[in-house]
Amino acid sequence: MASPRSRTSYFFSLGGRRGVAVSCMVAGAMVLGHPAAAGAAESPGDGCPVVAAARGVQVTATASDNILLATPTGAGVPVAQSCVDHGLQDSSAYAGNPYPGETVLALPGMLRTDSGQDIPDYPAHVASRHPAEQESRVDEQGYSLRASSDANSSDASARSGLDSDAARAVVTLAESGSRVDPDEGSATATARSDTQPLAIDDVLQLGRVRATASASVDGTGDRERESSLDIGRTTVAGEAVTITGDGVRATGDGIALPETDPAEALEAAGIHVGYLEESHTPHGVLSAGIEIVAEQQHPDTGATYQVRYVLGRAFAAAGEVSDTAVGGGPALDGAAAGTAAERRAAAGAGGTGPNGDSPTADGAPGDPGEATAPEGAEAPEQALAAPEEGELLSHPVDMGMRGTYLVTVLAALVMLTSATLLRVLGVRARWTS
Amino acid sequence: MDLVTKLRSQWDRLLAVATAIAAAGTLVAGWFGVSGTPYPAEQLPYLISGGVGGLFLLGISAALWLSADLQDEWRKLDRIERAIRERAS
Repeated sequence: MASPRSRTSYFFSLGGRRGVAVSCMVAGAMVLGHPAAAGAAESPGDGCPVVAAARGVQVTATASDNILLATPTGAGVPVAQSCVDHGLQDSSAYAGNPYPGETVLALPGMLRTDSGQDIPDYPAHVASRHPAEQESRVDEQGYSLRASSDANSSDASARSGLDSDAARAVVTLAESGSRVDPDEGSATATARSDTQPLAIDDVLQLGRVRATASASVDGTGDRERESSLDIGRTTVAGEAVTITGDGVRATGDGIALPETDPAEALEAAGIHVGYLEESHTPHGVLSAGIEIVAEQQHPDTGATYQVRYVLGRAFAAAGEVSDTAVGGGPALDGAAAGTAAERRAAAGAGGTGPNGDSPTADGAPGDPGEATAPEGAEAPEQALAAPEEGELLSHPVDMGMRGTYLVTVLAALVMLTSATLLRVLGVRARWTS
Repeated sequence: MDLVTKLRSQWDRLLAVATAIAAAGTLVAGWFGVSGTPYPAEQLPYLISGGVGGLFLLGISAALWLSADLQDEWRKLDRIERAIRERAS
């Protein structure tokens, strides 16, 4: 057994090696606490600060006797979305017709990998991202899609329909544009949705629906939001009506009001028409829209079939542009705070959000004290209170490459520390039994 | 023991030091590569080559150094065995 003196000297002799180990651990802690690492972790990631999204018609169907349609399933026809994140130097856009959501878009690639078969990609979708793919375009019979991106701007447009000149042809258009001027520190996002006349169950003849949304912010932080919704001549059972927040009303204009209340006529046909109010988010605006729910019941089986249309939704948001660009730090003031809300609003206007949220979600969060959220929207507190803390752990790439690299360096330091401890305590330790 | 013999006997430690220096250099170079571009597509090769490559080199270095320590133990055991045999004979 070693004497106290020899043991003391032994511990002192280990001092240098322990110093190495302790230094490694301290260095690791410093790496974790470094502002660059912290900045990388706080990066807005998939919350796009300057984003515009538009959707022609969102169609969602349910059928109680069909297992595939037991839950609401649908797509936006068509959808266009553009995003510029100056802080991350990311600029991207996409357009789809119909846009089925990220899950369906990723499915062919997954099946290709698993089966080894040559499965083609979803055809009615284009995407661009600077600098990898600056422009993408598809022109096919029945639809035309375009997406383009450069360093400071992205544009997307999607058009569906056979012939815009043909009477009663359902032609829809969705356009979005996002641009940033780094020199002036300004940003602009615009979105437009245009749907040609649409007939539902031969009872409701909806006129042309045009929705626009724009948001801009200048170098001083002054923000402007504008949105509009124009609905063309609309008739219910041949009678002209207007659709407002108060409901469906017959238009008098000196002509005798119809004997039948248009709302009753719609209800008799199983159609519900609702007006979705304009909604403000911290950095943007979601335009007003129209919701039409057509419900039918099978006379024999009692099965219920429901089709829900949402028309005229355009969303635009512009976060403030900071001078600090490139890298891990958040470049947009308050962008992180508005991320969750605006992602949901963009998903409501233009299909899925960056996380692949369901395009059927039509609600948008309201801005406390500014506007009423549309029907079905989450409460403002719920929408804004959760920047999804657990999201970073479930999506480690959101840390950014810098953050990932620092984690790798930390792993190297941990390995060095472990090897040193193994050497000091396992190999070089004296035999004292 | 001359220098060449000493270096030859400590080849694993020398190699461990060399790979540790190479690992440090690779990690630093990788960091400059990753922080030099904002595009993930351009950062990814640096992450793999610099980060994972540096990690791999550091692992080799640690293994070599531990191997050298173990060889010291075996040399000491050899010396003890030789001394016991000489005393016994």
